[in-house]
Amino acid sequence: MSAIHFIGLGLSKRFLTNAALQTLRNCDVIYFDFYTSLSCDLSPESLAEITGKKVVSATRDLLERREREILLHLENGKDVCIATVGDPMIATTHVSLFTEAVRRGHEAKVIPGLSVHCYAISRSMLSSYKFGKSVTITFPVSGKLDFTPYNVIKQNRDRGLHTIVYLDLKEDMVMTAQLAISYLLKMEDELKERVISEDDLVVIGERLGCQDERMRALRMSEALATDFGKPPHIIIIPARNLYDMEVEALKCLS
Amino acid sequence: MPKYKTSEQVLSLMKDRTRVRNIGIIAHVDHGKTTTSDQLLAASGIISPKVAGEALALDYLSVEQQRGITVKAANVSLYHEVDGKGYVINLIDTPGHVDFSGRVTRSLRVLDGSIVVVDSVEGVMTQTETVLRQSLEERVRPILFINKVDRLVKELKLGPQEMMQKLLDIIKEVNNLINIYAEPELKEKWSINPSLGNVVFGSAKDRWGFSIPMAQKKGINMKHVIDAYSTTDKSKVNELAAQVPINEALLDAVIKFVPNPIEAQKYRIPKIWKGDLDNELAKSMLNADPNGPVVMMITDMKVDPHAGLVATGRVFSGTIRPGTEVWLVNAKAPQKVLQVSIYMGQFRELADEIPAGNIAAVLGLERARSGETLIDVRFKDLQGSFEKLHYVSEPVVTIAVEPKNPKDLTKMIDALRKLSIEDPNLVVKINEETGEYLLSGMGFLHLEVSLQLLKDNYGVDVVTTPPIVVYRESVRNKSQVFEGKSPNKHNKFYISVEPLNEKTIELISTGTIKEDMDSKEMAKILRDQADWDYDEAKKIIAIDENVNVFVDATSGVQHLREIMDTLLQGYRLAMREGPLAHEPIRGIKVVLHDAAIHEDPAHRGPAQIYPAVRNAIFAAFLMSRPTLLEPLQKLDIRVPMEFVGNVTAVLSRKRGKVLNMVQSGSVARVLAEIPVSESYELASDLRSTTGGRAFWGTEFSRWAPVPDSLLNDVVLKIRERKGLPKELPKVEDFLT
Repeated sequence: MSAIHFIGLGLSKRFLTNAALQTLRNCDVIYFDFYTSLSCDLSPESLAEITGKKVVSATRDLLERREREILLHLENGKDVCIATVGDPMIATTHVSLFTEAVRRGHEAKVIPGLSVHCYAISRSMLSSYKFGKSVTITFPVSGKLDFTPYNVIKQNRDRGLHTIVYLDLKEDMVMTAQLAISYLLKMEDELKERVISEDDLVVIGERLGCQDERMRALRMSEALATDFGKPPHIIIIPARNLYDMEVEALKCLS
Repeated sequence: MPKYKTSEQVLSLMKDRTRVRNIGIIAHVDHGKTTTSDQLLAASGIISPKVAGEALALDYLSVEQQRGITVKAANVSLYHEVDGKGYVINLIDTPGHVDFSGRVTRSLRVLDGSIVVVDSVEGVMTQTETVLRQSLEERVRPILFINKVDRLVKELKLGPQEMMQKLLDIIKEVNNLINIYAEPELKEKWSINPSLGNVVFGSAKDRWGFSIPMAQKKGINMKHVIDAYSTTDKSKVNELAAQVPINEALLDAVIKFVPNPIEAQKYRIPKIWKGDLDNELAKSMLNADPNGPVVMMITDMKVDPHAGLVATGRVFSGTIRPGTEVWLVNAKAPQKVLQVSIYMGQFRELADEIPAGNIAAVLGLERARSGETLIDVRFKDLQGSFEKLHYVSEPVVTIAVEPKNPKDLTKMIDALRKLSIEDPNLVVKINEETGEYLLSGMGFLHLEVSLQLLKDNYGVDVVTTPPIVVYRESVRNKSQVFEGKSPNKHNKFYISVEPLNEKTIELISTGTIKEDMDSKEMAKILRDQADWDYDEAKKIIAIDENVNVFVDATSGVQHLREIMDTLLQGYRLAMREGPLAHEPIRGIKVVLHDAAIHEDPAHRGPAQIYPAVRNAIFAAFLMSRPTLLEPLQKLDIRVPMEFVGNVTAVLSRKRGKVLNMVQSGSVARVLAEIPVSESYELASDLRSTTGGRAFWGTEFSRWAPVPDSLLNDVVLKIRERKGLPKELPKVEDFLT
């Protein structure tokens, strides 16, 4: 029987763990999951350089459709690594491959990596006990926005919780924080449930984990007029009532 | 002689409206419709001093002249005097070939009378019956013109008595049809009676014709006709044309028997207006009130190289002027009229206003298509239109086209787009994989004619693939519920499929049931007429263009609402290309029983939902006795008795089936059905086996399952042509 490893690479080379590196070096086949996250310096090429191994890059479609191919490698006695920027199980759907491999009698392991989820919580210094469900703002499909983010933020805010908002990544399109904020305001405009207002505070992370990273807290209206530079970006919508300490911490951000 | 008139003179008659007649000419193919129109235009066409001197012809498109069949519905206005009074007669040129009969019905709505042309030798044929029936169903009053009477002399060598007998037989046959298809109160009034003068005998080609009252008045009888054709000297025929000109005979009859718009709209509106008759719009139409709100039906859209899109149709109420704001009922959009024109002969000339009862050409309605209803924008919330938006015709033959000169590609694309605006039965599509442009039409001839138009009107020469017959995919059993998973396995749909019953298919094809109607109303119709369970019918949330329905039988599935549009789009895409051979699916019910959907939008986008829906539908489809449906064609053949055996032999060799056979005299009428895929060589085979003695007409009949013995073979052939794996699809392919 063979083994499949789901490896979190962290946000950039600096955050690649020894555990990840060693496991990668022992794998027969490495797939680089290239769709759930972006990194400033992690790419199939750089990973090949670091590990000295061939790395197969897989877009979302490919990885999901390569399931058979991956399982075949396992049947043939090869050890497979699925390498993901950030963490392999946070905000991804790899769990189905994990359970399928186990069902077929293979060994399956997760090597967690530093996820932008944790990174953003930590960098924002907002209370980690107060985060609710996270959600992704997606690009409109045939001109229509999915209003789920609005509802998630509403539920969280109703319960006094913060919301981590991921931004969509679609082939060569990466959503900027500026666009995402405009979508949120558009949703408010349509549903009018007073969940979001232009005066609300929002925390925006830019290129987290990279040398030029930045995190700032500002008003929605300001965010609309701000260029946050190259993606990836991430947004935190803080709860309406912040602890004093949280207020102080956010002040230190910008 | 054409009639020289100014547009002011014509407009003043149009405003009177008792001096207006709106007619069309309908006929079986080749019975002489175009020749008759040409003669009327040449002899009575209105000529504006502006265009006098230019060549005249109704069929200004050379393609129609070359082929001798009329394709485009264009209006021409004629002028005729009876008892010293002038009349404007609008002649709306209805398409003659059956391949386009959807457009015939549409043109009929704007007519009050029709000249039914019948070849004296061939008599009443299938399409005569079809168009006469359609005409009567729309309450359009028929006048009969028995054409090509010269053939009775030259070919059949009949004497005066026999000739009269032959003509009376035709009249009797036509009256039979009127008796069958006309409404009870009209049967008597509308039947053809030679002594009244609502039937004309003549030869359009030779420009003569007369009714019995006219013949009596001018001292002409059948003997004169026989004499004129019993000599090689053409002067006798010309003499006849001078004595009893065809235009006089026909237009006298039209003015006498076809009602003017004011009389006609009283009884025609209740028949052709699909909507409430009590509201202001309908009341104004019933009175043809020029001061009421504007209502107009568009029967023809053409792309004019100079003017852009030209909408032609009939104003039923109000007065249309430049600047009028109208609501497009089918397009659900407001638009503003930029210019209005009247037809002067076959040319358009600007007018200030056109009142109810008349034919108008309108510029500025970019969003209108043939069949559109325009109403005064203030009444847009009132329900009603002349035509329900539905899919009348189903194109059955397709060719791929590419320009001979690759540089012409943009020009060709533009031209194809314009052609499909002018002819809604012509469908243009792009094959996404090969980038080929696909042109689909109602039959082989329809496509040929369209290609000719492409060449003549737009200067684009194309090369084509051989015609391909279009199939449909369907099922014959009800399936179990199948699970379809998205590629990431986090979205699941539980779906079953089953065949729709014939009645449901009919209700959808005729537009009685459509997606955007009230669900309770829809459920009621389906329960009462098509054996549906009311509660299930109420859950129909989508009906696609290929006559399939989607039923949402779930309750309380989280996030289903957020992905519903994507889900339905996935369903529609699946219906467009079925699992057997990537042909459109027809006539199935897709039921969604349950679903599980990922909570984050990032993991339930189209890339996840489309395949999940498709997989479930296709797996279910393959488990419910799938089959291909092929288009069948109806054939109506008239052939001398001694050749009947040869004809049936040809038919059975081509998988044809004889539906009925009637003998009248020495001629048999064979009604049969034959698959379109077998009809390529049909014409030459029928001709050679009967020594050219068979006449026939064709019409689309229905979709029918391909015989099981041929099924796999046909599926594999289509798959091969499309570059798909040359093997039958398996359920497992969709169960990953």
